[in-house]
Amino acid sequence: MRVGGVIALDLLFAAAGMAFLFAVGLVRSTRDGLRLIGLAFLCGWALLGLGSSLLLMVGIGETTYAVLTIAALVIGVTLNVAPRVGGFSPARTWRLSPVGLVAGSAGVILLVAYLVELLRAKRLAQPASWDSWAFWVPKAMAIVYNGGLGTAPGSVESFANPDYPPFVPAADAAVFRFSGHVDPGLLPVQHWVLHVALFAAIVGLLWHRVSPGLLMPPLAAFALLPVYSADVGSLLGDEALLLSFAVAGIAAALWLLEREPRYLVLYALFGSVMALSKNEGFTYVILMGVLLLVLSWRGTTQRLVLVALAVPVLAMVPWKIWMRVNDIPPDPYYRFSNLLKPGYLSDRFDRLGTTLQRLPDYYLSYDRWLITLPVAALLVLLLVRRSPRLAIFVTAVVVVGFIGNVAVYWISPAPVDWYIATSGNRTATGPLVFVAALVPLMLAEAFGQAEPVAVDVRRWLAAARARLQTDPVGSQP
Amino acid sequence: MRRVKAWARYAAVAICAAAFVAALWHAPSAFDRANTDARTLGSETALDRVLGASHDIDRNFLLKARELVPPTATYAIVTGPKVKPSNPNTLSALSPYTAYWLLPRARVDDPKQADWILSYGGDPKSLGLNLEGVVEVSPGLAIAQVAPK
Repeated sequence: MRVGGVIALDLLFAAAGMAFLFAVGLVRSTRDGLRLIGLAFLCGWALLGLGSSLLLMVGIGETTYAVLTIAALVIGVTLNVAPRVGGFSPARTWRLSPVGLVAGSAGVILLVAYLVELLRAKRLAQPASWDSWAFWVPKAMAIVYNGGLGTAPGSVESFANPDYPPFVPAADAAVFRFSGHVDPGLLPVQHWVLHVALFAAIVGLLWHRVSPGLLMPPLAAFALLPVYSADVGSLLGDEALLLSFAVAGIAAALWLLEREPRYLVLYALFGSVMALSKNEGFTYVILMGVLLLVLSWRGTTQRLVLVALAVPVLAMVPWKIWMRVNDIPPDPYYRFSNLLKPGYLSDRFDRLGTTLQRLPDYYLSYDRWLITLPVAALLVLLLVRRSPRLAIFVTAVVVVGFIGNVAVYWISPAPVDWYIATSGNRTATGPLVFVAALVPLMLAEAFGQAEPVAVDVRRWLAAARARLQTDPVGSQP
Repeated sequence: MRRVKAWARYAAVAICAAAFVAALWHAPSAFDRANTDARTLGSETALDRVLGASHDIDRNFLLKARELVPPTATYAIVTGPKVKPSNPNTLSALSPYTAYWLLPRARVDDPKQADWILSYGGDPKSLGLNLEGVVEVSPGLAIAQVAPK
């Protein structure tokens, strides 16, 4: 029952996600479906997790039937929408060379071998890191035991960081529900499955633009990054954040290169997961959205970006309302309003010095991230003239993310050495995973594998409007 | 759109190769670490694995608490000098780990609001509560039910 139930949940993720991608037009053939199976799985996980979170916030318990109802709604709505949306199956822009075949094969072998080894390591694992058993996993358990969110002793909000949004505990609670047992030992493997889906999703999204020789070796290197591989199956909320950060980042980058609006849909979906996973996720998704807005072309494309950016913001509203209604205080570790107080900042100038001295090591250390940032920096230099928007986008996310982290350590009341030592790895993970996920795309752009395909957005919208006018019910293919 | 110069292509390939070589260099230790984790977990008992992160909180105390305290009850934790753990993190881990371990039992901060008292080095009798059946798990570690009011 336990493992069978979790498998059933995973199949539900794949089904709901595939229906979603069908509706969006990214899957219109068996070949597309196979190529994007990993992305479909993550889309289903995102949609059902967001739906469950919303149900919890309006006071409906996250039962198995509730999750099944959300899945049925997603499938029903998306299948209804699909006939009105044209398909999009991008043509492959590369040819496989013998060297590319060898390099790609080597990357696949290393990646798959390491993922299998990680599965062996996680198969019998239990919550090991402090935060995982102190609040992430107990919150998921409390959702099941108490039938939802709450502030009473033993409920979700009685654990540390009550201001953290509910996506991660809601997603883990679904595993408990479907397995019929509140067993934290089920979670590490389930989280491993999500990471496998991430790599499959990256391959599926980039397959048309990045040849295997430039795609698979960097993905193998990504999997082997020490801090990242330690996060796999750690049961920390950072897992959901970095998974969604990677997919949202790739979707945003593909938008900048191809101006295909469907990528903005993916950015909006996974940006919402970022926002509802951890507080810093919301900050990063806004940062990405603002950058997309600035880097987008004027007119219709900017309006589309605004709509996509509004989705994660709206996703946060129910949580903020729930916090206000239930008197949940904001995070005491940082109040951004303190950045506007010169006296407050000058009194803590020594913290700024300590942070600037210590934090870069968490981004640049070979023992943590191998040579990820130096590789990305070199690629950005190569892209400055060929794909300036992509170069600016990647650079700005990392640099502004770093500045944001510095600001947090500067203004926080927590002892700075302790705070950096206990959170430095985690705060650097988001931007570094974002960069690692984009390395294959940057490589392909620098190599010149694909000319940017500019979708005429106005023509796309006109075609969509015409389709609605001639066939509003969607009865024609 | 600008054509890509040959040197840029070579640079891209070199960067890709450098990243992969760095991964290959690191791979043996990464595989070794994962293999060690797998072997360690495989050699442990189920209880060892479940309580592995408990920072040396007394196992009998945790197991007895689960056995005695009903799932719907509340409990409070009191500490004191009767126990001096060798692990410096034990006492700071005690409250949050017990809150996780004993779910769905609910931890309350005020002993006067609790149905049960879990004493880790403290003196439950000094709380001024009417306690029934104090179970001494080991010297300094006790579990007691608070008599209904």
